[in-house]
Order: sequence, then structure tokens, then C-alpha cells
Amino acid sequence: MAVNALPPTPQAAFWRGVLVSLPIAVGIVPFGLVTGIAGVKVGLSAVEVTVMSVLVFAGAAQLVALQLMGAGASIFFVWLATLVVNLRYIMYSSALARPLETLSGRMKILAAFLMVDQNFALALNQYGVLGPRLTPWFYLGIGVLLWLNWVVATYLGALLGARLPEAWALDFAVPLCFLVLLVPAVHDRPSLAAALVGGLVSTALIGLPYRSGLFIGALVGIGAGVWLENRMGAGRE
Amino acid sequence: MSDLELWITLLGMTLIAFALRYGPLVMLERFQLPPNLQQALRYVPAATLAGLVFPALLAPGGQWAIGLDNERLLAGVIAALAAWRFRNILLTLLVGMGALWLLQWMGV
Repeated sequence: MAVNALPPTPQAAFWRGVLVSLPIAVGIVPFGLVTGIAGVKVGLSAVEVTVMSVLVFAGAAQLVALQLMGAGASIFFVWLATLVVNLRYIMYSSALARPLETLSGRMKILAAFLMVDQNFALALNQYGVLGPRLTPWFYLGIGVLLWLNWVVATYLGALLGARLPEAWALDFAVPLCFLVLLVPAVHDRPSLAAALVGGLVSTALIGLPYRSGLFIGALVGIGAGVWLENRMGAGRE
Repeated sequence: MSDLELWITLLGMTLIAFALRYGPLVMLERFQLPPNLQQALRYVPAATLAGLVFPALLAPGGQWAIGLDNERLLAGVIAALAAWRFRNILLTLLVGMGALWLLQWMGV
């Protein structure tokens, strides 16, 4: 595959997206396995946790929801956690409105359903090169492959989960998966402040019921990031 | 959680996840998010992801545990270095889990 040549058609752009995301998919397999394992540990069947991956397609939100369900949280708190952990999609979705504007209404529904960190970042990054005609299909190619990969990995994890011994401390794999996402999210001083404050406040409030400390910590952390950015901006002027 | 509750939970999660991804995509052809909100949204990933990672490392048993006897904190710091260096889920998982198993085996 000539990676540098522009794909000639939307179809070619779709397959470019599929190819580009193959190595990413390999890296996400363990995350999916962990989600499947977590589902079984909480008492879901392999089919139930796989259906969750089919419909929700949001690893971080699914893992938090499963932890809460395991802790006996009410439906409202599971939904609240899903909302908080997925808030970043508002940002992704608004940034993608222009690169994906040539899609039909129906395809936009599919595009939204398939939105994840990776196709957001790659499509935005390639928009300058691929332009408005090809970028949406490149984006969809990544989304379709990562969705299939996510569903299969979750199912395999669920099949495996019941057989794994407690002594392996596999629950520790959950924060490790978040850590891999956290590191690139911290790219300047304000985002570092948001992470430190958000993380420490969440930890301090760990005793609050149903991980509501996560919600409060996120708000305070966002406030810290905004505050520092504004302060640094004011210093420059 | 009963079967019915489980499916209601899943349905709600599906709708929430979809609405957050779909709304701005179709509405922003006509509207712009206010700049303040755009700025705040930029810090959502760092703040929420840290809120998921920090408690698992700093308070694995539900209480603050900052010290060398906290295996998960040590393993987490080692994994963070691996995540920063390699940006790869599989490698980070291997390094982090390996560190935890080694520390537990050594009985730190």
C-alpha cells in the first residue's frame, strides 16, 4: 500500500482507514478483554456484556458502569457516570462537524455511533490532506474496524473471564487501560493541572457513594485547567 | 440487578453515549458552542481520566495509601512511564501487571 498516495475514491479512503487502524486494533484488544472479564465478574453473561459493547461502544464508560453495577449502584448513577466519562465526545463531535459535513443524514447517524478517540484524532489530523470528500470515509473505515474488534475482544474476554484466578489481580488492568488514555490527554500545563486536581479530588472523595466523587473531581479539575489557561494567557498579554 | 433493570441500564447508556456523539455533529452546522464551553471541554479528558486512575493507585483499598508498601501505586508509576514512552495499551498492561506481580511476589 502506498501510504503517501491520496486514495482516489471514497471507497479507497474507507479501506485506507481500515488498514491504518489495524495496529491500533491490536493494541485495544487487551482493553476489550478486560471489559469482557469485568462484565462476567459482575455477574453478566458473556452475551450480555457483548451486547453492551455492541450498543455502547465506549470502553471507559463501560468499565466504570460495570464497577458501579458490581457495587450495587442504582441505574441513575450508572447513567450519570456514563454521561461524565463520555462528556469528551461533545468535544470530539463538535470538532468533527466540519470534516464529516459531506455525509448524508443517515451516514451521520452511523458516524456518530462509531465515534471513538482514535478516529476522531486521525480524521482531524488527516482532514487537511484528504479533504471533505474523502475524510468521512477514512473516518468510517477506522470506526467500523475498531467496532468489530471491540465486540470480538469483549466476547473473548467474557469467555476467558470465568477461568482466570483471583490471585492475578486482573482488576488492576482497568486503571492501566485508563492510564494509556490519560497520558496523551496531558499535553500542556493546564491539562496537567486538570489531571492532578481532578485525580486528587476524586481520590479524596472516594468515600462518597456511587463514585459521585468522580463527577465532582472532574468538574473541579476542568475548572483548574480553565483557570490556569486563562492565567497563563493573561500573563502573556 | 434484575434482567429488566440490566436492559434499562444498557438502553440508557446506549442513548447517552449516542446523544453526546450525535448532537454536536448535526447541530453545529448551524450553531457554534460558546467559547467558554469549548474551552472547558478541552480539559474533560484529562480531568475525568485522572479521576479514574488516581483513586485506583492512591487509595486502592478505599483509604489514602501513599507509601512504598502500596504495590499498586508503585506498579502504576512504572506503568505510567511505560505509557508515556510507548503510547501502547498492550505494552503498558504487560509492564504494569508484571510490576504488580513482581512486587506482590517480593512482598514489598
